[in-house]
Amino acid sequence: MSELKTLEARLVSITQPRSSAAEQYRSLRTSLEFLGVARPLHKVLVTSAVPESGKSLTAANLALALAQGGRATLLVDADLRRPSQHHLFGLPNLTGLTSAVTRGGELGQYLAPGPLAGLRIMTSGPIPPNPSEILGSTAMRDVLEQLEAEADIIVLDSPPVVGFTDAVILSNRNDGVIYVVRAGFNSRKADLKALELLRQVEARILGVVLNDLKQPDESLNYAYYYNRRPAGTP
Amino acid sequence: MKPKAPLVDLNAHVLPGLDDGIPSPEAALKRLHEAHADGVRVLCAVSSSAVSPKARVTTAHERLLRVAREAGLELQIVSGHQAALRPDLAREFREGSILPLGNSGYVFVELPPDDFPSYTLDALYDLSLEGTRVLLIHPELNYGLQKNPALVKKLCEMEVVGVAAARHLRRKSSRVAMSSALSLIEAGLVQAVASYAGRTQDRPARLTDVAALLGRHFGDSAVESLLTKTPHAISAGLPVEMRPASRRPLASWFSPA
Repeated sequence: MSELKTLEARLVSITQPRSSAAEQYRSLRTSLEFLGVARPLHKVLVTSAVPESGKSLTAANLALALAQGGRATLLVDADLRRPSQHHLFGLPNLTGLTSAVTRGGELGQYLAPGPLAGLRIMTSGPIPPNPSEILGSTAMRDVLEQLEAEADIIVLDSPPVVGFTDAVILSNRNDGVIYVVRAGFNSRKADLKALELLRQVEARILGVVLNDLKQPDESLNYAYYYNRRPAGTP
Repeated sequence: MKPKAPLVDLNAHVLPGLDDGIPSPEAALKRLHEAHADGVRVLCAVSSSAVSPKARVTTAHERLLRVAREAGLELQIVSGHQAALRPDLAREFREGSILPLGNSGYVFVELPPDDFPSYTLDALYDLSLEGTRVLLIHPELNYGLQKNPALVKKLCEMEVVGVAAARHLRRKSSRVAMSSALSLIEAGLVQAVASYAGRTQDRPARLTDVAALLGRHFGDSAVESLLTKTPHAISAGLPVEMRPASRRPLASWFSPA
């Protein structure tokens, strides 16, 4: 349990597994599993139009939900603009993706164990002055290919689409893109622009996650009834 | 708001007999007492890698530790280099000629005052690939950063952490240095303040006397972050979360956008 102390409380898949938010991440996992029946999903990119939409949190919780479901999962922080997975999981980030791409060597040395047995995390590593060049390099493609052998599924956290080319570069090197929209935050124009950019490179958009939707009353959720103990039980 | 002890002073030139530091162990002890009276409990004794090789820093550090122990001072003293920026900084670190700050994994880098060389970003990135985190020592003195906010933004994006000198935040300092230090705090590059104590009278081992100025400009939470929280995180070897957009000078809330 001591490990949990360093985890962000917002990682609800592990910190509040019975919450309705955690249930939603498990639903997302199920949806991915259905989508992967026809065409297997090994690498999934999580992105959004603009920063602060919750894509890093979505990627982290999704990776936790996948690991809870028994799949060997790898979470890769490919957001070289503002990486945050090391903050969420309390990891040092002295080495990581950029070290693997720039320095090479055995990939295992850049993977940190996650809080669940089935989850490993590759943090961003030091941030380079030229993130797009690193992400678009052949060395990056080689690293992604090698990582496929390390897990059943890889979840990549990426920078936002509008303003940076990084996510667009990464999107067609993956099996699909999960697009995150933060309710009442994103502008429709930015979302349309981002989706257009992803379509231009023929990225496979798997679906949209609507994030941070305010619910009027937590007690109205079905989860409440499922979790409630019958009267008289200890 | 006066920051509460224990404080961490990330940059004090108090290694006896080295570069522009303190000439003798007795004078160094005076600075250590001054720091302790100010609430400092962890002090990073720093010297330039260009003039003080690793062995000399280690010897001077041992002397300083002995002096502090004999005086009964409750002060943890760690040592480190401040490395002058060079294209092959990473190689120098790999070869062991640059000492990090204690066991923190952070390395102090000093930019040349009048230039921001074109290789700077690559050299800092190469150094961080060695498994270190980069601290820019008194970046407020660099002319390139004073004149080019895009470079400041780039360094923030690379999570390079600037440490300003308290000396440049005092009334007697040059107006350019003070204005630059305040701008870099606002921009989010400077995340911590250290005393930059040295041999001269205008470089005391004090931190708390700049709290009032920082509080006036940025508010109490920034004072806590700059003087307490971030220096503690650095000395413990923890990553510093960069939040460039959240720090805004109080005055700007009352001025037109």
